[in-house]
Amino acid sequence: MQPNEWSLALAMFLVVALSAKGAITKGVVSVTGAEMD
Amino acid sequence: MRDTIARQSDVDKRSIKYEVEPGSGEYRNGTITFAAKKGKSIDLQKLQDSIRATRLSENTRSGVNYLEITVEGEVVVGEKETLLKVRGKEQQFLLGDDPNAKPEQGKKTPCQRLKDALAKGKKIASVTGRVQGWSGRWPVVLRELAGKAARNTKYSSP
Repeated sequence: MQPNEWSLALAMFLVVALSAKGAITKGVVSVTGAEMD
Repeated sequence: MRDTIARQSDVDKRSIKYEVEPGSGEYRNGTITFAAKKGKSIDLQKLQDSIRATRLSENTRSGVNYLEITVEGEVVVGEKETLLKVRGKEQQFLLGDDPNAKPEQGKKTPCQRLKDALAKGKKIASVTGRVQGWSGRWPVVLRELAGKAARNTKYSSP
């Protein structure tokens, strides 16, 4: 089974440290428009 | 948008911060910052599906400038591509430099820095970057992301 694949453009970067497990831990979404409220 | 993020079962509601640029126009830029609940991973597919279920998938001029995420995982450098694998999840990220970001002359791109760090034996624990495809008017972005998800599903049969 193929994993879902997303492309991640590295505009910002990069924490080097040890980690025991993997996860998407933070997000920032920048939006424009009245509906965002 | 803020409410849609808050409804995600893997997002810590108390972590959500919302900032909008000053002014009175309807189409001002704003940012919503959020974090996963302790021990959870934010499911991008579910987030995308939830946004598509709102009126943002219909006719609107509002849009998304970017979605930036921090992923903890294992970086695997192949001959042709660099992947970030989320351990225990069937999810991986193809890493590449942002084609719109112009590195300063003489400085290495983030991807080159990543490869250098790995070559020196450093352990990469997390990568922060912008997810490709999350830029543009919401209806167009959601339609194209749905098409991409369908293509992934098509090729994911055992």
